[in-house]
Amino acid sequence: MAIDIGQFVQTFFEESLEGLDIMEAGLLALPPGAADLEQINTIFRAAHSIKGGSGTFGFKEVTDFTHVMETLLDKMREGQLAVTGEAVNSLLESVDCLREMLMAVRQNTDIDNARVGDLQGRLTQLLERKGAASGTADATGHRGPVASQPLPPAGGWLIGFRPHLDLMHRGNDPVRIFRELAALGDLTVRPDFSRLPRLAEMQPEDCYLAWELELRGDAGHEAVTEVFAWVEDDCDLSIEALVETIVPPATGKTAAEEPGQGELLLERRGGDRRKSDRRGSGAAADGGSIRVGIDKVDAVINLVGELVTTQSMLSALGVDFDMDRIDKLHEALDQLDRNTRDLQEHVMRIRMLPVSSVFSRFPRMVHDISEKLGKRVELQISGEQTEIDKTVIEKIGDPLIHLVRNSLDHGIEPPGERGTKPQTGIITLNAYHKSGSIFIEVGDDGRGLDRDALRRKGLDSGLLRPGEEYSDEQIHELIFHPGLSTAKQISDVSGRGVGMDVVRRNIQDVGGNIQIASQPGRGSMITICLPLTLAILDGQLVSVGQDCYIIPLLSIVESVQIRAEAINRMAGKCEVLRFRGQHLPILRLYELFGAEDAVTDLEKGLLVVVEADGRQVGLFVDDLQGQQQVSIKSLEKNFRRVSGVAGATILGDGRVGLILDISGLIRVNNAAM
Amino acid sequence: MAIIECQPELDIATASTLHRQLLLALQSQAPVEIDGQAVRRVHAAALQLLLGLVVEAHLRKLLVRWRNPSPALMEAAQLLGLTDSLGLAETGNDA
Repeated sequence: MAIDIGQFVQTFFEESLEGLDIMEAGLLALPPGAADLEQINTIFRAAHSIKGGSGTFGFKEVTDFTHVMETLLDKMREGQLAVTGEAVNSLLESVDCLREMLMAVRQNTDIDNARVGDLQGRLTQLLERKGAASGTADATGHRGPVASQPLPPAGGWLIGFRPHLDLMHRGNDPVRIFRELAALGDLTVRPDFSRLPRLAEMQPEDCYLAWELELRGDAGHEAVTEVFAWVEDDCDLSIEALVETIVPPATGKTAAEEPGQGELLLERRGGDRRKSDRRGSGAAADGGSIRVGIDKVDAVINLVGELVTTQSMLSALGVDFDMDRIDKLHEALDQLDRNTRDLQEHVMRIRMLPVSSVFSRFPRMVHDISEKLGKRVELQISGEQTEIDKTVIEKIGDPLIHLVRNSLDHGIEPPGERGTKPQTGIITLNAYHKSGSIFIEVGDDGRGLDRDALRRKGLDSGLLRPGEEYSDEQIHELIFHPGLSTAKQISDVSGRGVGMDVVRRNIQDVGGNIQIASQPGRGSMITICLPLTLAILDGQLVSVGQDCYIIPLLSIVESVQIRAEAINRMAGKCEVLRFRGQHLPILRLYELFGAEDAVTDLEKGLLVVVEADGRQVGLFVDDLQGQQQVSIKSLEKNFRRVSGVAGATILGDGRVGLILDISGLIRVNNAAM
Repeated sequence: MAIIECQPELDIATASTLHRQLLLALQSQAPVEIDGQAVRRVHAAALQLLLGLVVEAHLRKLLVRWRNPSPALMEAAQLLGLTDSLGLAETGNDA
């Protein structure tokens, strides 16, 4: 009986692609110089399986190519060939090439024989040569003045965004940037193709496009600048206030400016000035789907089963209830409570993804950048199975890239400058759960923060007072201050304009916080603490008139009673409280939200001191109520966006409580002053 | 007809692969059909390459047609202002 092996081809492709991933991970983990036999064996086995499978299915090119790789790996395994940086790089390129070959075979397209031949030649050369030297170093430095001036919002912004060719090499993606921009208002996008070369001449990772963007809405300059914070060194950027009289230009108006092949597209381009829907675009991007393990779904189904049992137990109790059965009722209610909590926890878990989905991009990034900088770096990852809410995961990618890049660029010293430490620097990435939060640590064993330089900078900028003693924590804290970028202060390596203040803001946006510990000459450790989920928040309930508002517990510094003599009235109607040596602006919540029957005498109410974006304000409320976890309902989805309000929740008594957005309130307050 | 089946993840790491795929598709000098139904994530690098293909095909007077562009693809193209230039406006896909 003949067996139709065609049915197994698909499996072969899937297994081979997995094999390639294993090879890539193995190669990246392979320390040059030292032959880690087990690691080489793993890579060898993966290559061997691909070779065997491709032979079975008659994919001769794949078999031949893998054979050369396999021979090279075999020689490494037997110690006849040194594990050099050059060999590892060639093998990594071969993995990429093999991946493309498999794709080509799968899709019945032609294999790029020139590339295969070239790589095969290089591998053969390596085989003939024993013990090649490794490592090429070309220091990279990039600068980019950013032409932007703070201007008051005037109906919107006209943004000129001209990426440098290498913008996308650094992990940046204009799609993501524009998506964030679209969330700030109505976005009109006009691309400029004038730099686009012919397809054959394109470098796939270079950015040739440029854009002119019109953002209409009430977004502030700061918010717009922040969207570009990650790329401001990698592009020419201009942000100007939109003049309201601008009439949308007619189709193809800029044709004269754009010579060459750009023209042929211009006719059609005019119609592309459509608006990105403020909510729609984000929803389409994130709202898609989530892959959930069957075990998680089963766990929820089990819990629902238990809930049903409890419910029938309660129903039975309800029939002919008498007080003798009160204990049974309590028992059943306890069980219901337990079931509900378990169910909540498990449903939340469905939204959780392992942090490995973010961590997995770092091995290649560290490998490529360290190669470019001529540094020797080993990346150690742990806790990658720790699960975090999907939304949080999406938001921490950029900050983490920035932190790892900082460690590579400014933390780890070049070989020769590491003194008695091992010449290979170590960067660690670790994630773990602790007391209801997720912690992510990015550490390095590099030079650490330069305390003296930071202190000098702090004194120069007036953030520190001369003659006073400051703890290490207070000094380190300065790197999170806008304008005091570590890059400029702490090393001479040309830095990126984006500072740690942006990283902190991004982390705070998802309700987390960030801390740094550093020892000169021994390295730094940055710890990010994130909430388990964004759907539930620890809140302080406060009453204002008839209404109840929720203040996120994380943003509360303290609550105080006000003495009238401590209040100053500034010009206009701004009130400030002299409080612990500073002047704290007072925000009367009842005025802001138009609440009726509220306490208006400052001495009779309470002031909740809150902090966001490094600034403190006092929120004047009638009274504090309890603290509780509240589940956040989107106000935007059900009503519309309201400044100063982050969302709403349904309280225990069925009323709706608004959850305050502290950063938003501070902005509203500043605008009113 | 040369058919290009887009991968689910059109990210920067696969840009080189896509580039080669597009160049190969053009070699046949036949009309090109791009199947975008599997696409879940798109990087600007991928869209820029697809734009390069459309321009190149236009210069060579070859027809480029889209088949089932996914919502993720449509959204990314719209964000970059490339819907019309890529010829995605005519696909009538309103998914």
